[in-house]
Amino acid sequence: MKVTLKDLTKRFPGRSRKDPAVTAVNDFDFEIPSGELVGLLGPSGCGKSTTLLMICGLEKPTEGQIFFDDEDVTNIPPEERGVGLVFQNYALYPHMTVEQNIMFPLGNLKGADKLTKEQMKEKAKTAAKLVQIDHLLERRPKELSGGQQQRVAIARALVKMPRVLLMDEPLSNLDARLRLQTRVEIRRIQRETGITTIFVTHDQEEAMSISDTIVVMKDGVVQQIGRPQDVYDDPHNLFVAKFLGTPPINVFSGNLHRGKIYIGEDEVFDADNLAPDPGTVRPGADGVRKGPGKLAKDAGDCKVWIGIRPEGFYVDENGPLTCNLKGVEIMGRDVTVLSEHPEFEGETIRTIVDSENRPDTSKSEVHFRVRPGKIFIFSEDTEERLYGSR
Amino acid sequence: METNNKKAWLYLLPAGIFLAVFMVYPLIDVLIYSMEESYNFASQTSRGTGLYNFNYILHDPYFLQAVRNTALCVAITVPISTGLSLLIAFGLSSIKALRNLFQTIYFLPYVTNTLAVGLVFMILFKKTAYTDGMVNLLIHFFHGPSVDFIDGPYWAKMFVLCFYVIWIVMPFKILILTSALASVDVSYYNAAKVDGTKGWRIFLRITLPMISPTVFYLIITGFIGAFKEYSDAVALFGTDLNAAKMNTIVGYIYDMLYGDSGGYPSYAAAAAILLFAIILTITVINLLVSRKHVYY
Ligand SMILES: Nc1ncnc2c1ncn2[C@@H]1O[C@H](COP(=O)(O)OP(=O)(O)OP(=O)(O)O)[C@@H](O)[C@H]1O
Ligand SMILES: [Mg+2]
Repeated sequence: MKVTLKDLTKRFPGRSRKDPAVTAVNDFDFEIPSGELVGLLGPSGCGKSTTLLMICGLEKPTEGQIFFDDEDVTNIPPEERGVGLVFQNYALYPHMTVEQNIMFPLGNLKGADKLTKEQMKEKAKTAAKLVQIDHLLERRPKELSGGQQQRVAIARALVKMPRVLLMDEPLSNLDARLRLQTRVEIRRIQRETGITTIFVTHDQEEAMSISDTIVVMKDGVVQQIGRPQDVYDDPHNLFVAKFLGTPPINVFSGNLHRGKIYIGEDEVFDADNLAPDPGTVRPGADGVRKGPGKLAKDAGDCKVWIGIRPEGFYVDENGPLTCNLKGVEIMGRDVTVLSEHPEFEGETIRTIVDSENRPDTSKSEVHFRVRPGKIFIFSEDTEERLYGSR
Repeated sequence: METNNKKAWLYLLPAGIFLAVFMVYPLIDVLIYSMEESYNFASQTSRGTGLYNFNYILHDPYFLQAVRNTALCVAITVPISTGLSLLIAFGLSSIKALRNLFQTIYFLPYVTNTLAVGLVFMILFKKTAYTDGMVNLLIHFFHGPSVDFIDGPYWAKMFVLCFYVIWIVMPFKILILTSALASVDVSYYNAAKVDGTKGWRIFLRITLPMISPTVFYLIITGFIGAFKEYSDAVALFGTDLNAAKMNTIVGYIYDMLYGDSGGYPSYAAAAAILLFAIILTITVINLLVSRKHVYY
């Protein structure tokens, strides 16, 4: 089932004159290919849940349309859309056993679709097997671990074989280990069933690791859509660059001067190594091409944000970027180097280098060179990407 | 651990003393009274011990009448008031506009003085020299015969009493149930809605089980309250309830102690013990049933 959002907008009216209307979802216009696992990703309050609720029909869009394949479902009530929804808190009925919970949606079938008790039990069993909880059918939800509850919720959403499966932060209640385990499970279940799945999270790592496609949102506006690796390697703006990656990208304030990039006095990169923003060949969301062409030697001077991925540094005696060394953290094969720089946006620059490449900790300074492909230049005022390195 | 335990007991001591003096001691005392034949307060003497008092009251027609009245009142008012409250609370929770107004209206009887409510009921039901009461006017309008609700046939009086009791207890129940309904997480309803669950199925399979602890709480306290029914009967029928054939068990106990036929603490004690036994039994049954049907 392909899901298409067309100019989808949701505004919540304000309660008073002082409290203006909130545009929770602003003009969403994208297509979710059939059978894909799509991660809706963004910080808290950016409209992820609202988008999901509109797709499942619990929330009515202010403007725009939703299509399942070619069928316009915008005005169809949730029960007729054939969606399964997994809630953030699972919403398992506490007074029913696992089996009764999973069977509950089947009990609503009417007329020709009506099932006998045996058929329902059979289907519930199949769904439970899929999520590997078929040995827990007699338990009550409170007698299950968080991860097991989450699977029951998935089984309940799957039992009617929905056309689209929607999950609202299904892992947020789990501890770190279980989260890791369960997201692999979700991926497996999605692959096995082939149901188009939309998955909401504010954890970028989670989204990156299991999604076919991620949709990065901020304040109700889509920032970027693409394969996780593509979005990581090619962020369209500073927000996306900062939002993806652990540890996060290091952002410096810097200058473009005569085709060279400076952080403070240090010339960290040369124009010859910079590729123009791929935006020059990629139309933006507004259909307009973005970004200048290749950085010319005589390009105008301007202030910019310079983002460098943690893995984009290597230690080099003669490297152009000089930072104050604060310490190193050794984590097996990799070493995290902690340092400071006056032009750095945050507190501590975190860079990841090979253990052979670790700096001399007896010195107070460390010199870095920057790897191509890991540095991005953003406009200081629009925060749109200007250039990326080759 | 040891000292902690001692501390805990120390903290419990004031409440414990209070309970011992005002609850445990009187309870034991009442039990003793009920076993002593013809106890006399003035001389502090009795003629012997045994089950004589119980034997007496169980053959006293007034007591049997009181038991019948109480039982009838319990059997009628508890289910009706609980059911109606549930209905109204559910209605209240599903409307959006004017909900607060309606909530206030339904809660008004709770903050109104019992005697004031009694007065209203008089206007509604009592026959006087000038009027037959509002309800009779209504009956006349439909060409029915006049009924004297206060001094008339037994069923009419019982009807008024039950009406009154239901009226008095509903606001509290509605209040409690409305908040119980409001505390049911909306995501359960949303989940049910996405699955296409019809309204009545949502109510029976989700709402009701979720608020079942509250419902059982109301049923248990409702039973206890109705068994202790007395003041409402007085408000309607005056103090001579035996004459009106509308006495209740608590009324009987009161009469035995202080009424015109007063001065029989042993009978009163025996009746009190019986009432205690009845309430205990019913409550235990209630709890056993609730354990099967309440899911928390
Ligand atoms: N019923 C509502 N009435 C008014 N405003 C709402 C309502 N629901 C959501 N909003 C607003 O819409 C915006 C988006 O909310 P939404 O719940 O979609 O965020 P979210 O991305 O799911 O956040 P989180 O990660 O915290 O769950 C928020 O600013 C929120 O305050
Ligand atoms: Mg949310």
